[in-house]
Amino acid sequence: MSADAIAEAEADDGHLSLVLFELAGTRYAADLSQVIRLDFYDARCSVGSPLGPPRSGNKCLMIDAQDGRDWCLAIDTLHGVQRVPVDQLRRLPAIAFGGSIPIGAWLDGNETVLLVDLVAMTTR
Amino acid sequence: MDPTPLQRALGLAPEKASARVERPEREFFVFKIGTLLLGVDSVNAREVTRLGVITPLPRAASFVLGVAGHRGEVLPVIDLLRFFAQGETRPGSRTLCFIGVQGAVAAAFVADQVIGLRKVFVADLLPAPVGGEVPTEHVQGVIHDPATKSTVTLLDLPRVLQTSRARAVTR
Repeated sequence: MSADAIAEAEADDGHLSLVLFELAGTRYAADLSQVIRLDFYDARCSVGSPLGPPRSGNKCLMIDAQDGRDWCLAIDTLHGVQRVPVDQLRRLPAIAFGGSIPIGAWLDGNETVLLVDLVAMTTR
Repeated sequence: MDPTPLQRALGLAPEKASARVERPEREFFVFKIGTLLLGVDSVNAREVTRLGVITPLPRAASFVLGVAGHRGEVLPVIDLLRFFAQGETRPGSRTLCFIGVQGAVAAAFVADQVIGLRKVFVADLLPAPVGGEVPTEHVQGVIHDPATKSTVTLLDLPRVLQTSRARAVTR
């Protein structure tokens, strides 16, 4: 079963799997289907620092952009994968628009976790 | 014999009801941020709250401090000092915000101090001074508040929200 198929099946079931990570002191989440693996950072395939530069470490998320190229986003910490109810996800209000990368938010209790589009980073 | 108080009052009473001169009023929510004493139409102020964690937004406009979850809604948090280029606030966990609304658009505005609601006679509303701390395009007028003995600048909140949105999207 492909990652997209898994994501679709999960969305039908009212849940979505998110990859949670921390970068420059902020917690982010991305669609699991856009991530291939956690790897060592490689500047040759970096998407740059659209969310700010990492503070430490040499880890990155390898992105599945489906364009035949390797892309990676440097991160500080990987917090893991979490299945999240879709009804806890929100679109970002227009005033909070900061480019096409943060596309929404996950209301995790009292904290708001920004949802980012990893593939959009590869086309900037 | 001296007239009783009731007889005196009746002596002064008019023959018929006189037409009352109506003085239309408006109600404003007044708050302080930095050195600015500001007010917004009370219909545009939904509630006052303490926001929890503010999540900063990468590449957002400077006056957008981030987003915060509030009653199941994600709200942009706006610093009016930065918006009007009058400095900046440093919000903490105890920082007050008021939720400003216009139609379906809502945002949280940081406030240092909440003064409360003030009723103002429309006739007492003075035009916004040119060259003041707040640009006239975002001001409905100014009033003198006898309680604080200060001048309150009355914001056009729908206009502020509209400009915030335009500035954010054009980035």
